[in-house]
Amino acid sequence: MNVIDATNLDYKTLNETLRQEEINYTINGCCGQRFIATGMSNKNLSINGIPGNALGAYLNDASITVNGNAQDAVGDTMNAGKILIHGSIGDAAGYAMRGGKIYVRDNAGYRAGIHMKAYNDKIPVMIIGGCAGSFLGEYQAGGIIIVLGINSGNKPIVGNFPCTGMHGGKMYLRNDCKNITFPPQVTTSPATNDDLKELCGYLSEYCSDFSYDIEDILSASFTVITPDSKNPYKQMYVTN
Amino acid sequence: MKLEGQVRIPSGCAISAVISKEGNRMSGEMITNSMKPMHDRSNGLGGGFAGYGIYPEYKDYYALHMFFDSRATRKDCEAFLKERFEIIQSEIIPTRKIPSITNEPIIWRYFVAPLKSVLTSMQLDEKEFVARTVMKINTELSGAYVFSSGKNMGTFKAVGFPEDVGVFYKLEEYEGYSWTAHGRYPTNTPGWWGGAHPFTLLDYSVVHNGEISSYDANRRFIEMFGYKCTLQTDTEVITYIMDYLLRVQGLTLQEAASVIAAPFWSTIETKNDIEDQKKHIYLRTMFSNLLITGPFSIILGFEGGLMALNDRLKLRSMVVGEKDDKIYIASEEAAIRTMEPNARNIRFPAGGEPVIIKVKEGTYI
Repeated sequence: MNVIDATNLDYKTLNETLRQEEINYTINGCCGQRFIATGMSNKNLSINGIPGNALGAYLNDASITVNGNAQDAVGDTMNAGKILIHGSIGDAAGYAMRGGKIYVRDNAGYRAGIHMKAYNDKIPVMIIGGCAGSFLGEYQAGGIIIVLGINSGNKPIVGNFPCTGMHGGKMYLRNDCKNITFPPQVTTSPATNDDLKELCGYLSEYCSDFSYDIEDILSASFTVITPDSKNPYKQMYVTN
Repeated sequence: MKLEGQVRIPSGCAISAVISKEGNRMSGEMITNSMKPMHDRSNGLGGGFAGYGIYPEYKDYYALHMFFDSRATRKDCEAFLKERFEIIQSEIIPTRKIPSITNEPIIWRYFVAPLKSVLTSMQLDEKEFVARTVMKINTELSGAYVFSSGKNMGTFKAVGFPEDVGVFYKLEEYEGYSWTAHGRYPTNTPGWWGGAHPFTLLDYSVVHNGEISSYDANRRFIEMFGYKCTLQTDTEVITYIMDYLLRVQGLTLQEAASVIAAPFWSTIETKNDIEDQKKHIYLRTMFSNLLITGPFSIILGFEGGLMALNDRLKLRSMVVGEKDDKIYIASEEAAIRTMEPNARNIRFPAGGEPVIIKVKEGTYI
């Protein structure tokens, strides 16, 4: 295990250090350095402090654990690997991610999962333990977004305008969603037994990462949201 | 001092603020350091700060901070000021020579009191008189710019990275109960001294990260009320809009936020509180030309407080944290952690949701 003191290190130097042969790194004193672990494979990072924007952008099968909050655009266009956030995450998390996992213990800002996509066995998964901001899953084209609303109190599980422009993939909200307005191009329904089976696969790992009891998590009702056809925006502007 | 057309750099921004709810004064060093982790959000073409409560010994006088292109312009401007104000104190603003800040104009400050006789003959209240004088100097006196005009507050700005601008102006020697900061990355307009943030009028100051697409519609409307946009930057118009809504129209901060970052009609329609719904319909209808569209995150400074606000779509980042008597606001959490490593209750305000912090009455001068 290599320990890096990131105090006063710029992001370029920090990333150059991470590109050495060693696999396991702990970064201490991180404070806003951007692009950490961009495009990296076969690494195992633990970060103490606040990583800057675009943490794990283009990540290619590395594992990142943040012991605190993360900022904006985490896992931008990430391809594979896992990012674990023991805290909250800023805006545009998982922007256009096309594989791998982002698991967040607390809340997410605006536009989590914007333009997530999938291809064959590449199915990205994002799980948010608390609440998500507005425009959750904006333009979602593939992959799975799960929001659990744990300890949310009176706060709505998602902000305004979830699933705007959604045309692929699946979203699960641990809520009956009666007070949430969705766009006309998506279908909402209570999760079926098959859905719950699929969920269980993702949630068991999440629960073990953050020490939750999966029975507790599954005891509340889930709503599934999917686009209502293969081409829901066929007539929106022009026929396409 | 290079002007519009002489420099054009196509290019985000960084903002940061701290305020003590108890009115405890802090030196400008902490706010300067908060800009360091956000260095890459700026490109060296503008940095600036506003400090409140920094001139307690001159608290009853308007502090005019000015840029001049030459000694002759300064002399002309002083002659003009003497016709309208009693000048209590006139001095150069102390700066440090550092390699990262060059080509500085002549930077001066005046502590002034409007002449009673002039106020009487013009039939204006003091603030309106000062605001009109600022507009007059900025539009008519070529080479002279008033970049700060409030009482017991001051703006310090330059072309450079913000952490250097703080050192340049020796901000560690000032103490204020609230501070705002800006690092600039100009996208559409030149990087010049007058174009750096904050933009101020009277005690209102605005730092802004974003790019407002309604600039020209807003400008045309606000210029009908005597404001003149002279600094070639979209943020300037936000300052005048806030002055118009708060000082001239007497709106509350919450109401002003509902004008510039008005909720969507569809959101207003679904409001359960009918009074609140009516109010939003009224504000959107009455001040439709002051809706600001496009991405923005701003921090408005005023006497005794701060307001942070994002555009309604939240196209820019904003983080708020607190510790003891202090509230911290910044584009990135890293900036907050630099000011206070143990800040608590870190939160991300929603688009159009103003965060308003006021200093306890009587605790600041």
